[in-house]
Amino acid sequence: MNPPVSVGPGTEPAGLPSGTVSSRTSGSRPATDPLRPADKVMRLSRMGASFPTRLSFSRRLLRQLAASGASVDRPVWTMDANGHGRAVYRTTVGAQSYSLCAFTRELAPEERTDRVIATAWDAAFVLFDGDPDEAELERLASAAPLQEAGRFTARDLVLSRANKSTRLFEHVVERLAAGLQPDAALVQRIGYLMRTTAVYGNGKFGIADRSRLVDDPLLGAPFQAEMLTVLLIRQLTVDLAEHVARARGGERAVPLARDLRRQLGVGNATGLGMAPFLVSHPRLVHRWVMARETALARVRAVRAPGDDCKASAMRLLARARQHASEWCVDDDGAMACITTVRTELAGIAEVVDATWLAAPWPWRRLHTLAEACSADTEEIIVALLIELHPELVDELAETMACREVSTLDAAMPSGKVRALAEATYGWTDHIDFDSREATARFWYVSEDKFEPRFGFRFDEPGADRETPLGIARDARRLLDALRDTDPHAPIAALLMTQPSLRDVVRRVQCAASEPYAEIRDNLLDATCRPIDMLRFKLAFFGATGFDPRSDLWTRITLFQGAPGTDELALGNAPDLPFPVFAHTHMPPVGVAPDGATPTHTSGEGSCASH
Amino acid sequence: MRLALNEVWNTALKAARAAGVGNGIAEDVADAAAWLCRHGEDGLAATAAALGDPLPVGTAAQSGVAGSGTQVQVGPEQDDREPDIVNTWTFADARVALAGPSALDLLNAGLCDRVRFESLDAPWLLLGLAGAEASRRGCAFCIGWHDGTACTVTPVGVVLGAPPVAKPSPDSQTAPAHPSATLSRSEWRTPHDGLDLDIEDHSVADANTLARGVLVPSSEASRARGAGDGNASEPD
Repeated sequence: MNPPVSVGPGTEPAGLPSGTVSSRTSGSRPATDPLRPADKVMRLSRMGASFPTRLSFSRRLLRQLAASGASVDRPVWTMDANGHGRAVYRTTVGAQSYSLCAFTRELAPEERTDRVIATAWDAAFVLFDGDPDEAELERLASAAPLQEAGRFTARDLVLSRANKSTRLFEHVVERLAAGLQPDAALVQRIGYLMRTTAVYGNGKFGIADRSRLVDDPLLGAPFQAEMLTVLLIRQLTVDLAEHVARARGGERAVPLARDLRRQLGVGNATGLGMAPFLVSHPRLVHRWVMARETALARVRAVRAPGDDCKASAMRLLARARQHASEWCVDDDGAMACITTVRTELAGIAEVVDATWLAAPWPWRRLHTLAEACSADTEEIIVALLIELHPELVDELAETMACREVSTLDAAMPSGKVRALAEATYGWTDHIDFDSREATARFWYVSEDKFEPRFGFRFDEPGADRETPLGIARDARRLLDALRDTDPHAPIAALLMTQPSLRDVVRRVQCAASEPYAEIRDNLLDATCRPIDMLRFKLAFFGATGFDPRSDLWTRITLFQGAPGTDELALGNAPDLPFPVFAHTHMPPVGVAPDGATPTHTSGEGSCASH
Repeated sequence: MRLALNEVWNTALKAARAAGVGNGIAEDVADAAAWLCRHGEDGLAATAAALGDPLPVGTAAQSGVAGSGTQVQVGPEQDDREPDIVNTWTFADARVALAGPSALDLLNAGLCDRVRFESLDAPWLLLGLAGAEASRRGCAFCIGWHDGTACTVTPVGVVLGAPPVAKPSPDSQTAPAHPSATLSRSEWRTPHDGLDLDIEDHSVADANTLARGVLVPSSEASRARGAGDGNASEPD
């Protein structure tokens, strides 16, 4: 097991602005505790317990929009009574504007699917760079509904599509048309009016390469263009429901109450396609995790927080408990984890009071309490702690970008490569890659519809075309090859005779200085759960409401609890961790929303095994 | 056909993977293709030319299929103060996709002063590999061609000379023993910013055909295992 990584002068995350934190003396860096080791936080089971923090990309976007005085207007709204037509939502920041162009249509129920093989959707979107004129809108009206089958230009920044939550959308329309608000319990249970099934960026199908945005003040950070797209889609979904309600109800129709608006996010059905990214972008992943772990380490090192900060911690702990009590899923394994979280957070709440917080280093002690709990509970507490000190944390959001430059030190002696490989991949020693279990699965892309899949190596064909995600196996092969190699010979000599090792050598050299770059589990193993990779990435997006449907895909919600786009104009963009549904219509914790006998206990006072 | 640079990169990557070169080499090929496109050349055609014929199993030095017969020398930028370069590594019958990255490794590691290719199958891909490496390291490479001419490849493009070898095209499937050479002063090309990258349709088609080699057809076995059943739409 690697020792904790200590961060001190000279080892801060790269790209950190200097002297920007008011709590520090000029030119100094904040004190930090040791960082959590990669052997802990880069294990799949831990990654699968990830929780969004204020460093998440959606949170950063909201802060940037508020700080930059961004405004959102809707210069185009051409919808029929059924909500079919087109709309443009324009975000203006100074002299720049970005326009979400939306195209909605009638969709037969049998056509509606979240799978990547779908060919029609309720709505198609393009985030356009600037203000589209009529010709551009016509071009997009033709191309956007085609999605992957269309071709786009360098002014098209993001391509997306979404389907309605038919049950909730229709319910909301009916209620608003009748002059009533929708059933809060149903709104809470579903959490969105539409869910996206893909959000494409970075050059796909001809849209703009990410390199075009790296210097953009709003969209330059990772996934900001994608997050802006989803935020604007969220506004559209509410506007659409209100529009259809007005068409049906006339004068009787009412708008959606603001507190219910905030509880609606944008859903997403996330599948395997997201997983390979984490393997193919090791340096970027390192940046993300490094920022998060540095944030935690800084907060842990705070000796005596102010009374306001301690009060915030108490409020957030109560909020986290409420969030966990409202979080219900159908998957038994996931629900067991949530039940454990409820129990453990209750236990922590019994200990943590004003007196307990008054002693020095309260955050370090709180994290220590959480470390004795389940991974899910610890990660929720980590998110809570990171929330407490924006002055220490927010600047780290600017260190999360990375231009992936693959360099290889061909002169490095083979002995040194071996030492680095053993340090990073020593955990593979116990794996027998000759066993069926260790290589039972393989990743591939299907020929029909280019759908990513996770196959069974010994039961189906195609392993000869597998996507190269078996890094652990490759590392083992490298170590085997280096065993009989002259340790003084440059690694270039080995690569001349075994070019297939090139990628893993590059990764080994990178991991030496970027310990969070690699997932420390065998992604080919029979027990590998892709859902853990999906949740890790989605947490960095800022997703909440993880609702796994299998080991291969999950539903989530983005921007649930966030302010509306009209609230951004007021500068009123409060950070909202742990979205809760504080509504008088909510049943007590432990009672199913329909009042039926609960199928899951709240966990209060119970100890569900996990 | 207009492509984004990322599309060029991904298509070349898949084509190289399908050729069985391993992901590390595939990424180098993809970088080379993108670098060429970024500097106004057809990187996908260069990729297809290098991968169209099956690559040999084994080492880079054993790449046995005769190429175009072009002789090139790849070395660090020439220094007039040291004209006598004595340490040369030679590749016989080099397949650029395999030998190119190795050649650059040898030079970067200081294991030789110059690499000679006695017979090169895809000179344009070599140019792209050298260019991408130059961009990564902020250095330059000098390529001396069989006819005595030379060009210098830098992070911002080819700044001196021009490759005197025919650009890959559908008509060059039968490799001439001695390709025609053209001498021209290369223009200073501003790196492409990713707008309106226009690539010949046939190049895109050829590269996509190679890239489809990474796709797995559905089978009874995969369907029996429930492949593709994830993400099924559920009423909500």
